[in-house]
Parts: sequence; structure tokens; C-alpha cells
Amino acid sequence: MKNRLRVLRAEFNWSQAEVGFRVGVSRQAINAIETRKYDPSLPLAMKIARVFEKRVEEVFELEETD
Amino acid sequence: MDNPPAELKDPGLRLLGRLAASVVLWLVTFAAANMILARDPPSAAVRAGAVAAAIGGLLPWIWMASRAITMQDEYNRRIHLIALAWAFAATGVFIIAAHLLSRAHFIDYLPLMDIVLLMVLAWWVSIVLTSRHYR
Repeated sequence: MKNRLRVLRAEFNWSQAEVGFRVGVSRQAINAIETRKYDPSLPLAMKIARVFEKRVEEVFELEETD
Repeated sequence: MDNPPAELKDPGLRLLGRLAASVVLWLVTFAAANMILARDPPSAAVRAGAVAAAIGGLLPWIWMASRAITMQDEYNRRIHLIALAWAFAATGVFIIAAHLLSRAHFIDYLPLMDIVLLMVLAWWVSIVLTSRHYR
């Protein structure tokens, strides 16, 4: 699953740790999502979208292989 | 955006302390039970009490280890799940291999506590390797 997490973090000038703090997960979790090694659960994806004031589909995008 | 709320502080240190305390408790009860059983007391009640104390001393560690995993975020819980699966598989392969090697008279039959130590080692190695893989 593709995501725009890195771009959005840059726009908000937030570190991975700060995003993790705001959604209640570790920095490692945000890094794994950002580098596409881990797909978040739906609740976590929605929390991430919410802190960036976006809809889920504006942050995450399904690929053909998903 | 607002600053992150202050109550989201990491609660892990207190849990780590309790986890360490539960390990010490188990080591103490296990050592005490071993000392009692080494004297081979004639009373069955004393022997049963020593066994029960060592098993009872292990239960807080199991509870705390379980708490330490379940209170983590979904990503870290997934790492633990995969690591436990690998450790379970590795321990199973080791037990079967040791059993067959023993039946084939290549090695002596392994003491059960050696298998427990190997299981803990396999668990630790699995956590390290799985964490590195997903980093």
C-alpha cells in the first residue's frame, strides 16, 4: 500500500516520533509504515489521516498487488 | 496543530521494573526449590510444595511478559507475534532433531531444562532478527 506519510510529515514539519506520539504508536511503527514494510490497521490509518486533517484515501492508496 | 498531549508519556519504565522483579522472583523460587529437592526430602508434601513454589514463582513473569507485549502498539505486537512463531518452530525442530539424534545414539537424551534455555534463546534471537527485518 502506497502512502504520502513522508510528504505530509515534511509539510507539517513533524518528525516520525512526533507523528507516532500524536497517534499513540512508536517511532518505529511510523517508520515501518513510511517505508512500506508494514501496513497499518484501519483504525491506525484513520488516526494518521486525522492528525494530518486528511481523508484516509488522501494518505493511503491501494496498489494492484495489494 | 496543537502540541501533543502531555499524558501520552511512555509508561514502559514501570512495566520494565515489574518485569525485572518477576524474573528475580522466579529465579529465587526456582533456586530455592532446587535446593530443597537436591536434599531429596522424604516428605511428599515438602517436595510438592517446592515444585508448586517454583511454578507459582514463574506465573508472575508469564503475566508480566504477556502484559509487556500486549500493551505495545500494533506494529510491535506484530513483531512479537512473528518472532514467537519463529521461536516456536525453531524449538520444535530442535526437539525433534534432538529426539532422533538420541534414538540414533549420536547424543544422550537432553535434559528438559536445556530445551527451556534453548527456547528462551530462540525467542530472543527471533525478536532481534524480526525487528531488524521490519526496521
